[in-house]
Amino acid sequence: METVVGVGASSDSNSKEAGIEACRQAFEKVSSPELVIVFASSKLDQKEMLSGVREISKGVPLIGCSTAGEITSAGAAEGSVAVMAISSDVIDFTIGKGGDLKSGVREAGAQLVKNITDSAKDKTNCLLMLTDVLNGNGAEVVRGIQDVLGSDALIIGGAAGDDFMFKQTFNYYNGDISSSSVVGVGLSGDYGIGVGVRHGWVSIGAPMKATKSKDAVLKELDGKPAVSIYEDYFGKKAEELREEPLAKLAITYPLGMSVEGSDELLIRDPITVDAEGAITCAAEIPEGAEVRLMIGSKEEAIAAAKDAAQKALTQLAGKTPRAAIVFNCIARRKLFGRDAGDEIAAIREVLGKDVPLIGFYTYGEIAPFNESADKPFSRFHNETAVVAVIGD
Amino acid sequence: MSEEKKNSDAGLLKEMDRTAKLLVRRDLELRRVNEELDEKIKILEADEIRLHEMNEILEIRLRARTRQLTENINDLDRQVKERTQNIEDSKKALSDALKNVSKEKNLAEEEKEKTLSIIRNFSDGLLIFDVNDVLIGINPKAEEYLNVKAVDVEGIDAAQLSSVAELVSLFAIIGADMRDMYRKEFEIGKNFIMEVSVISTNYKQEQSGKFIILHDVTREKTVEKSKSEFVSIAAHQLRTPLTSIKWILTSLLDGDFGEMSAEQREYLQKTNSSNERMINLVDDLLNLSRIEEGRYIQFKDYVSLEELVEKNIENLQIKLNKKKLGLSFEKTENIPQVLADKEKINLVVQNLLENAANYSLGGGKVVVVLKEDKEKNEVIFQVRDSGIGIADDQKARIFTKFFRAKNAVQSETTGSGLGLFINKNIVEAHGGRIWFESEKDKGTTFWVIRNIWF
Repeated sequence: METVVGVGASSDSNSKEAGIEACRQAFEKVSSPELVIVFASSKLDQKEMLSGVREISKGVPLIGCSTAGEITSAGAAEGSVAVMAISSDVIDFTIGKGGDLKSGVREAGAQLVKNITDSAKDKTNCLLMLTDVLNGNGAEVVRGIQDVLGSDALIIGGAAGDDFMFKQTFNYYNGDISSSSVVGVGLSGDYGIGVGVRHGWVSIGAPMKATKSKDAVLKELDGKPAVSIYEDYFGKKAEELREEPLAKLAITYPLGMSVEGSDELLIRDPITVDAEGAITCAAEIPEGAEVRLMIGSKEEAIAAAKDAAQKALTQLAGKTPRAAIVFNCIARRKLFGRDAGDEIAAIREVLGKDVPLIGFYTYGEIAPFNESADKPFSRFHNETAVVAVIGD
Repeated sequence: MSEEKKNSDAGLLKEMDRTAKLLVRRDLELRRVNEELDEKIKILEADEIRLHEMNEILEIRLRARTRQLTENINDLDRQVKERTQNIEDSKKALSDALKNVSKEKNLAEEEKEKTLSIIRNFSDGLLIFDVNDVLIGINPKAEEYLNVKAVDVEGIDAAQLSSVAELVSLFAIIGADMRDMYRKEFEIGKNFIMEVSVISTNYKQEQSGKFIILHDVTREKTVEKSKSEFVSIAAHQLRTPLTSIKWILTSLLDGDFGEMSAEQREYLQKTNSSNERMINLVDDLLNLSRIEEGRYIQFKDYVSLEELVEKNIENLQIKLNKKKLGLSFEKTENIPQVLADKEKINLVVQNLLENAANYSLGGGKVVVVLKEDKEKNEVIFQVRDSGIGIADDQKARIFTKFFRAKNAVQSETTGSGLGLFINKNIVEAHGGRIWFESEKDKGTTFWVIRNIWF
């Protein structure tokens, strides 16, 4: 067996015990792990939790982040710790970290790649990244990475969550815990990887034009303050929409914009509304883009998730899937409510129930938009399900 | 595209957008309801978990309680078994005890029989009283002595018995309250003399009854009386000639019948002192017989002990000088006179002073003390010598008739052994006490104490 993967999870209310238990479970199947991935609820005491994990994992390279919900083979969870331990003869893992997002988002992305490639033995052919969108445009981080690695580099990952609080997220790098940062792991070697990206949201209502926009701030739609789209469709006043983060209300009604090379519209999460009615999104909406209001249904979402899993599997081109990592938007959890597990079950049904699976509910996803493994073009997504499968 | 079609498309689009808005609002509403429901379900689920946990806790408690109860029942069962065993043991112990009691009872019966047999066949008369002074037993000897039948007197208390004709004389001696007494003489009929003793019996420090013992001393008394009579007659018969001899010897020694040779005088002096000793001995014997006849203390008068002691010391001076003995007389002032038989008290003082001189070694010292203890109203007469002392094994008999301590016999060949016997009789007849302390070879101190108001 060339690649061995173990997954563990714990809902122990004692943060340290949860870390210890989850990591111990993950380590049961893997005799000498080379990489540990940790996704943990922001409700847990981060320090305690990570020290618990490290008590078992010792010096094994570790990356991870806080979440808005944890995903394992068992389904979707809240307030828990999920740990994946991997050892492989064919894959080399090199962990790395970028600088503080506040002092330069794009630079932080570039720094992450350099940090990894500097110590990697071989060419990094896939980068798994975890970033913090509360402190920096996710798309900019991706561009920073692409600046170094090339626009066709395979980049996957997610933005850390904090259980729908939108206050502070955390990244883990070995024993360190940081906010406003980006961490990642570079994969090199001869292995198979497949990435499926689908959201399943459908457009509703008449298309509008982004008449005024700068980066992630959408100022006007059809010449009116951007927030009017939600006033019109929700039948609520702008004041109501400003009372709390727009994200909380509008997360299941994101904006979609058409992008070249994809049938699906690229989703943009509205996050906040300012006094002028400008909407700050999770990533940029270029001026002139056609913008639609999107609406979701469970059936569409499940179908999309299945499709994403199937696409990932297909891209493995016959190689045996060894591990699956899912970056699933928090909006989807909101859409499913109690039935969030259905989506994970649907993915597992496609991938095969034996394939160890880990993942988390994100504040943004990173994956190739064009679903081409040969010449991928990774972008920052919102509201999307990203299914990545590693095989050998 | 015609204008009309355009308008129609625009209208359709507007209509669709309106519908879309409607749908979105409905969807939003639905989502909100769903979220609320989800929240409620979450709460319910949490409740369910809590209930489940509570149920588990209750079950654990129930199990624990059941176990506790089972243990309690087992414990009770064990206790019951233990109790039963205890009762069985007690029963057995009781039965054993009963067997022992019956054995003890037989033994006691046997002992009682033995005791009764001893009492019945006892050579002395015995009357046995219980704690309420009721006569519960009289032996055949007592029946014979008192001329009563057991059946007539048993079961009757002392108070009633004292008025029974045959017993009047007995109770006259012992009193109806039957105080303890020891060997008191009691004459039932002519030439029939008893010694009666009343003895309280005690059981565990409480009085449990009384015995009256009647000992027939008729024979001894008769013999003694004859002896006393003989001694008295003999003494009287001896005293008269001895006195005659004394006067003749004195006259001779005074030269009334002419001068004698030195040799004749020496013999006559020796004869005279032997005669004096003889007179003393006969006097002692006479005193003794008087004591025993009970006619000793003649009459009482106020006597100055101080004068009496001083006179006796004067008389003793020759002897003291001869033996080179020192004597000191210590006295307190104004010692009151005491009511006494002067002649007899004089005998006591004389005897104690003579003994002190006789049994002192040459060069010793005699201390005489006469003092009054005003608190106790007593007069104390004390004679201390530094003489031969009295050995411990002889002390008990020192006041008995004809007894002389071994070392006394050795140091002073003459002496009747009657002096201290007479002293004791005289002192006690006056209601006083006499005793001594002595250490062999160190000396002896005699005390005589009597109450001045006696």
